Amino acid sequence: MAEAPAGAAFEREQLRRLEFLSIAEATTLVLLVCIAVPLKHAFGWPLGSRLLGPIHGFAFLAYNWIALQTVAGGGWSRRDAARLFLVSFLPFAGYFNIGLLRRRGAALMEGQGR
Amino acid sequence: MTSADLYPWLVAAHVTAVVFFVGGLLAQTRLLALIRDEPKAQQDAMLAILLRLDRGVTVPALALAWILGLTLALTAGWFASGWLIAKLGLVVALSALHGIQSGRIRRFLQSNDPRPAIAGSGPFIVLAMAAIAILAVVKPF
Repeated sequence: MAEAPAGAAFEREQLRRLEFLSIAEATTLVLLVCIAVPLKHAFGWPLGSRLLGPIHGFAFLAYNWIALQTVAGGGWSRRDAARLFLVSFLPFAGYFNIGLLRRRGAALMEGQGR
Repeated sequence: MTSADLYPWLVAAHVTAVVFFVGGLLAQTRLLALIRDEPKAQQDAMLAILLRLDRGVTVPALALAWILGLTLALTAGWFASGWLIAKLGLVVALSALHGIQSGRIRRFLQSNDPRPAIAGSGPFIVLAMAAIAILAVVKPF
């Protein structure tokens, strides 16, 4: 029997939310590490890191919380689950989530026979 | 307006957000326990409504509680205090509990098992909230 439509719809929404936060977390980390921190240390301009630090901090917390919520939904291998959490610590790594999340979303659609 | 003037307003907003979050978390936990013996179709309908309530109320309240709480801690320089570190541990546990229960609800909606309730989560929320209130108000260490 195909998956319950309500459950599958919630799961797709969840994957889209995680993808959005993955991009937000990765982007704020790249801006912080590659632009704001060098500007602070090389040119004595601390405003960028003062602004971006808390923004990235919140994006990091939100991403990890949504990742936990997603993994708790089940169906994730240990490797993919660990990957979801590890990417939030490395600059640019969050962008590599996009393919994984879209593949899972597509598999979910196929599971519904669409 | 200085940050000292703003502080009590931020505390009030933070406490309000916490009340809504904990209310939503307790409702989620209680409902998961209460629907145990209902027919599957009715469980699905109630859980779908619960997920929508989560998105409309509990999750925004959780986000606001975190933003305001971290702003307060940064503004007042509480990060060096032991009570805040202990409180943060409990807050992370409550936030994680909400995330895990939400994930289990989605899993339950897609399949028949396992059951989404987590044993002992109700008493844990009550005890954790009591400890958080004591830590934030009494600041024992």
